[in-house]
Amino acid sequence: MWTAIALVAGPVMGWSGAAISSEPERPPLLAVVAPSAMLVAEALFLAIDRKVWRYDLGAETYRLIDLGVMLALLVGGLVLPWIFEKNRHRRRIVYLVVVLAGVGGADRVRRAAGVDLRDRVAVSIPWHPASSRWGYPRRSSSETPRHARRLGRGRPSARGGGMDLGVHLPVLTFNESEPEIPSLIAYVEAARRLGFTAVSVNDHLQHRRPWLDAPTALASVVSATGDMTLATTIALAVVRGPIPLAKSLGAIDLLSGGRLVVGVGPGSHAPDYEAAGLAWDERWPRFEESIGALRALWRPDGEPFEGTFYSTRGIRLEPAPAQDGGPPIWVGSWGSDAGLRRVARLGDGWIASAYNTTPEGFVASWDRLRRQLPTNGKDPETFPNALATMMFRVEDDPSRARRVLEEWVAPTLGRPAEELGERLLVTSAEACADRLSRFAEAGVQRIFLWPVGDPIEQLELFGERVAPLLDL
Amino acid sequence: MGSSRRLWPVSIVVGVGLGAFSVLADGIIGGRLFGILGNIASPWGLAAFFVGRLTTSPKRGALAGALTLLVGSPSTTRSARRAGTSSAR
Repeated sequence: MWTAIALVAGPVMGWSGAAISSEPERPPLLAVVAPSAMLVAEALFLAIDRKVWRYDLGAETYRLIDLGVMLALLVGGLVLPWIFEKNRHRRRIVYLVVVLAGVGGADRVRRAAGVDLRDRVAVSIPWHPASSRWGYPRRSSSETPRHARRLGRGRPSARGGGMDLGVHLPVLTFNESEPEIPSLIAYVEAARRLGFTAVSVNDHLQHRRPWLDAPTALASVVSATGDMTLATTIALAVVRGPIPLAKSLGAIDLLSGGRLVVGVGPGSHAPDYEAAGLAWDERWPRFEESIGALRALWRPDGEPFEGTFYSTRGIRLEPAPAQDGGPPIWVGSWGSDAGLRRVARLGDGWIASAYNTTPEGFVASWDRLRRQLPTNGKDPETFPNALATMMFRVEDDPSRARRVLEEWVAPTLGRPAEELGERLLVTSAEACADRLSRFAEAGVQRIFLWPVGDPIEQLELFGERVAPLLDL
Repeated sequence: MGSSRRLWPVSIVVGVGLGAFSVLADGIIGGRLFGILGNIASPWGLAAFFVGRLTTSPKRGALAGALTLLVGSPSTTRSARRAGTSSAR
């Protein structure tokens, strides 16, 4: 595609430059119009695509860069005729043609890219080499959309029939710029506005893509979360060590007024263990001990924990978390028998993994877990669950969705794109809603959504197009 | 306007440079500005335009513009797929 386009756009632009060089005093009109119209068309396309009339630059400062690029293109498109066309009369004609061609070109690109003001699908400029990757992120609205509501019914029942939606903080960057506190705050504010009820972070020390430190990221947005539940889904209890983890998560619970749910797991990324100087093979016994240590550290007046790897004797972490006895500890499991037994034995809740299950698989695992709860002194009717790492991107174009999976999601998760395509939500709004509804029917009580690129824009797309289709 | 002998090497160098920049801006070098510049078309069009300015022959200018964009295209259309291990649990 690009090769064919390059064979058209390249010669036109090259010819324009050469034609101006050969006749600098009276260049062909087309030679001046072509590059100028290109710049104006792209500036107008950006303006349409990012809806500049809805910018809230105070809240989203990174959009100043978008605006700056757009204005630079516009100014460049208007300056070129002034530089290359000396004749005032001809210059007026050039400007007229540039404006007309620019508007027409922008509209043509907009249509070709499938950008619609109502239906903000992912876009790309087809005659651009980057069209095989990403188009432009759509901007976010500072307005409260008409569908804004809490995405769920509050405390869901263990048998389904009620499901909340939460969001992951975008600690893993795809196409967005480096994380900044203003952009994270803007993201959380958008999630709140759209009715998401919880915000969580996943944890890695090192990863294939840059990964922002999880507790730091969560702490940085506490002030913007209102009454949202905060969660780790999951935190690396072994890699971080239960004592440092108890200290930092206890502080987040305190600073948030007791809104933290601590999801823990051993982690599934061996390099994290190497980085921490820990043996990968010891992760399971260490993990089980770390949960006991966390509980003991958050109950300073209770019995200390004594294990093979950890001891809390003589350790008193103050100030204590806001919640009596510390935040609830939910245990992560992909659904193995051993993992579910561990959840039943040690957890206050279960965190499942979206890319490691299906609605049918979740039903089976949830039933097995619920059967084991009474023997561990826990009530299956009140035991909570959540499904984390549900990566999503609303993509109506199947070929574009496939590219998202192949180029971004699969390399990130280390799983085949086909499998991820069946389990995650990189698909049309209707298919997203259908899959979420199936998980709700399967008994999932809360799903944490993770936008793949363009985080705020994707949340808004979700709110505009998927949420109205859900009956949560 | 410039030496025509420079035209072809400059076309290739500019094309390669733009292609490399586009790949780097696709997540390797961070920042919103790089992200945008690596994903819009105007830098490519302007590059072809200014390469064309190196000659006074419209025909050679057109060929040079095409060469610039064609040289840069393989690196930009190549997927930046990276192998990875397991991730978020």
